[in-house]
Amino acid sequence: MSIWLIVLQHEFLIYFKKWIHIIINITFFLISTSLFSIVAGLEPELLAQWGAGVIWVVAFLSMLLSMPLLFQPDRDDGTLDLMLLSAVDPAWLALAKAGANWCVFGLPLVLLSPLLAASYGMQGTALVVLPATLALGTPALILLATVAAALTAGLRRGVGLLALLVLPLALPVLLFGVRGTELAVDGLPAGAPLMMLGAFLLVAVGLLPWAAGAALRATAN
Amino acid sequence: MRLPNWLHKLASPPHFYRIAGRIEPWMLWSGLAAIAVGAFGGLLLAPPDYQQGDAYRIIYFHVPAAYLAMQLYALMAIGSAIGLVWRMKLAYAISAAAAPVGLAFTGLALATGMLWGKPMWGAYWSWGDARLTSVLVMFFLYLGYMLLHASLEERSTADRAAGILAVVGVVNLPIIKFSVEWWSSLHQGPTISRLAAPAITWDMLWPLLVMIVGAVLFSLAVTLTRARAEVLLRERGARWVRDVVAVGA
Repeated sequence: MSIWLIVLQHEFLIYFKKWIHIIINITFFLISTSLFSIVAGLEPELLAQWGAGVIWVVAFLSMLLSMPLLFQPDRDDGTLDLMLLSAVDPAWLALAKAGANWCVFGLPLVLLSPLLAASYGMQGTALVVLPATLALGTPALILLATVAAALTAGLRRGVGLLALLVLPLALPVLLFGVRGTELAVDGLPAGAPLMMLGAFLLVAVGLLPWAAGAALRATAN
Repeated sequence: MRLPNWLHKLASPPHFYRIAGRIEPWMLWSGLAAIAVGAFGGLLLAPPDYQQGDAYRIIYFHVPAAYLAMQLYALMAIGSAIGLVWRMKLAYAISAAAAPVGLAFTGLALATGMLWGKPMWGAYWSWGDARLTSVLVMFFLYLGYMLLHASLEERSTADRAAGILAVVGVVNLPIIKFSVEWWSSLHQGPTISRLAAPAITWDMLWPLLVMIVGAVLFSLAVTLTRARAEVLLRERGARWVRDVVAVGA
């Protein structure tokens, strides 16, 4: 457990040294979501309806952008091989890396999302429900992407393949995230999709680090 | 847990190569014969449907293709799981051989489904339908498996990595299916899952069953042929492969 905390600390240190990537990610998220609303030029009510889908998909894509940072640098300089040789279970390693990644790349999106929701004309509970769906859904997505990142860790320019592997598997999370927000936009209770997202998150935390650990072992050289 | 002995023996590549080579022609020709009989029965002998007319006859290709799309994915995932747990190389070879066959049948199921959907639902595609969407996702999972396998250069790494993906996918597929079912479904209910009282007359049913059996045999024959080629390729350094190639057996 203490080794796990050291890995977590190591991750945060690396990310704060590469703070520029965090800024890039947030900027990508903001620019893409604004581009959609500018280009679509929809009526205000339609904009609120479409906003949920746009914000969710762009949040997902911007998280995928950060995924090459998850294992590639550690793999290139040999740190990953040393970590895999250590006493830490690779599943814990994957969980620590995914957790740190979410704090750095996922959490800012959650915190920014009410602002975007407001700019898309959402009102009332939607301004709370959208961040709530993102807060429950994005960690599950990061864990899925962690598995794919571990599978493609050895590949140069593997990010396209990574996206292709994650996109179909991520469908349930996206569906419930968007549906929950849409319900809130229509002024309906959004409890059920939120609970489903919570269930997905629990399953993801329970199973996916294990798969990611196995993938790390499989692709280690 | 240990594997039974006969499975161990079958897992030896030369043994598998021989046995599969002996079974494969039987499967292929009986499968093709069954497909011919089933197509004749389904397209010519079976009566037209009182609601859908002759358009329903695409069921004789759509249902076997959709069935095989699922079964071959299961085969691929089970092969990968066996490979991951027991480190059995032959299981990986079968998984890798089954993937393109499954992809082809998934594509066929999607294509026939769309052709059927146009006259029946008035649309080729509906994003709200659970089956359409989950079959499309399965298509992408097949594609992802094959691309991941092809991009990793070392074969043992590729086997394990793609195997993990197949297993994660098989766990996720039911979740995807039920998630999309949240939306109301356009797809008609299953026709022959109720064994006791099928919602279809026998005249229409028998060609379908014959078609399914034929398609299963055919797809297994193709998978076995591909698996034999995989085994030869993977074992190309081994002595028995040189013997086989020299004799041409």
